[in-house]
Amino acid sequence: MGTGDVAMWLGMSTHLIILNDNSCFACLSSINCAMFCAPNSIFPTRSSQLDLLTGLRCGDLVAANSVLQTFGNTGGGEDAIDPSVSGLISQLVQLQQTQETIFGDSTNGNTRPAQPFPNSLLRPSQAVIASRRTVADLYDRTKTRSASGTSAEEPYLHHRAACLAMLGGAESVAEAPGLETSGLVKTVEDYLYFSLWHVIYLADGDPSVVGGAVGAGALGRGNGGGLRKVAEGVARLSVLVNQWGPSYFEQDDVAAAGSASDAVAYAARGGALGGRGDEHPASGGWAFALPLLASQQYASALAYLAEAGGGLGLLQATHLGVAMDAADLAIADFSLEEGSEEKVMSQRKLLPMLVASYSASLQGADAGAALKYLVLLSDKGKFTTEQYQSLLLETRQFQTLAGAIQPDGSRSAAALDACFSKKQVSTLLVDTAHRAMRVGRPADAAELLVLSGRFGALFELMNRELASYLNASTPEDIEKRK
Amino acid sequence: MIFDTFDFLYRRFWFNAASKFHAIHLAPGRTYVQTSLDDDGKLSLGNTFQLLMNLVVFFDRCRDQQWEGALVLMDNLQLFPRAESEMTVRMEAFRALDNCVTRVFHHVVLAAMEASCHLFMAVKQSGAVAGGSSEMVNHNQHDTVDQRLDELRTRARLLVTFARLLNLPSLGDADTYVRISQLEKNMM
Repeated sequence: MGTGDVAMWLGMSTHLIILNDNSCFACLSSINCAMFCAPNSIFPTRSSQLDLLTGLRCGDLVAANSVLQTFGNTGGGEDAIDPSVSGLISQLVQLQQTQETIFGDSTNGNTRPAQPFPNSLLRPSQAVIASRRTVADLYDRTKTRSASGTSAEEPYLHHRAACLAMLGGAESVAEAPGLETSGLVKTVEDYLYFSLWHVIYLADGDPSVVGGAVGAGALGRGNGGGLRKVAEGVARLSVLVNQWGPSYFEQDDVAAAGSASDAVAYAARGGALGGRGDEHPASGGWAFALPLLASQQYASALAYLAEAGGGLGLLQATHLGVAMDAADLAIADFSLEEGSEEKVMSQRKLLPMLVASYSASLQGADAGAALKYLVLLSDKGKFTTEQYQSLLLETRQFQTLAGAIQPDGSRSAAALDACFSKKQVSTLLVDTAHRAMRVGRPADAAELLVLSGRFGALFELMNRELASYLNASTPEDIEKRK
Repeated sequence: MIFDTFDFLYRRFWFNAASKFHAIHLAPGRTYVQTSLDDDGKLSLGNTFQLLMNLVVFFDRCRDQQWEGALVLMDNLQLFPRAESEMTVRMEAFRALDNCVTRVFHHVVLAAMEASCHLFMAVKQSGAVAGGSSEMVNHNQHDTVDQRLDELRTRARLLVTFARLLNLPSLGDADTYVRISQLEKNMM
């Protein structure tokens, strides 16, 4: 599992706030986050805790810190921000630097060359770890009070507890007992975000690692123990997502879902939420595909998307898979256990099959476009070759794909020539001709052999067929000759 | 070989496809096919192709009962001996034929024999009609008929000998040799 994977999905989950959380419409940059966390926001009263939690939910510590610095602890009293929290936030701001979020890549959205960061959320410094410990102690003292619910004196107690839980890393906001009724975890994305945020903290959450840590080398960088906890956290999340299954996530009536915690509890009791029968889900498959992606079940996500989303789902799954493959992201389901060979092979075949299926969906309308997708499978060996042959034989668009023979005997350039050399095209045409003969289509075989320029093979075919039917007669002819 | 109606359609399809190929790619001035075959050392395939196309025409003429035309074509193909002195060279030529031709050769022999027999009967009948039509016997016409009948008998005899030397029954249908011999006897 790449260390960047969890961060990537947290970053993606951040952007999903746009879709599902009306409390923060455009949390894409520190500027925007600051705007909506400003005094003129949609909330009737401001709270430092609310601002801070919003910033953490956006993954934008710079914006959150900016708001706190600009407007201070305006809530005062119980709403005041503890200095240990402010200190930790300042440290996290140093990690974020000029990135859009704390999860952003070092290129800041391809605006600068990639550069290694000495520290990150997965490799926190000693100072950050110490600050987290202090904040975790604060959380322990706060969560007991939050379990009793808010009061007029502490209207944002839950927000405070949630901030402390996130910053201290003691437990996941999504599963903290004291925050079950807080309403802070409203959507699936909220649940995923808070869960994965906590997973990142597990990189140094192992007491044996923290207690004995004397240097950064023991803190997840090369320390299998620290990252092991992260891996286990992601694996646990993936198990939960798979247990709940698509019928839980594919809800058409969002209002009926209640809070995410309610829905989880409902599902845990065996409740099944109704689907839409045989129709495609309203989400197009994304409602379940996204949690799968977030929990690094990449193969399952793409497979589900292609199956549940119909033609559009296949298009999306194919393109997403191609992009992931181009980025060297293995399209497989993350698991702590070694998968069976059958499962591994099945997952390896997924992307080629998606591309081949999508290509097949295009070939009736545009054989050339279908070919361009198959070319993406250029390093997939025999399977790819078979797909090219199928494209030729099923569309019979020989001229479009392979051109025509000119008066001088050369073959005019066509779609295949844009992707392969003349010799490669000729070999492909011959192989396809042989396949045509095997499936009982000698006429197509002859046409392909002409295009291939392999006239020897063509004559062998024609001679064989002419000889086979040389003396064929109708029954009437035979009677006449008797 | 057992054929059905579809086989005849396939036959027609392949003959037409081959004719079209010949017209396009083997037209005068277009040498790329020969060049390609020559480069691969497969010029003999082109010769076989030409022979098979002619044999298709031969069988078409037999089907249309154009016996004379069928035998003229067969003479031009030089597959069978016309005299004892040609027996050896025709046998060698047979052994040099492509396998796809030798496998069906017994059908060619049988068809040629049938054509000879049909032509023999036709000539014989035309000679009998001419001989009885007038008190003034045209000796020249009679000699011509007899000469023609002798030529056909000789052709048939040589064909039977040729078939035996080729061990024709082992090539395919054993009944073919019996049939050829019977046809020869009908011409005695």
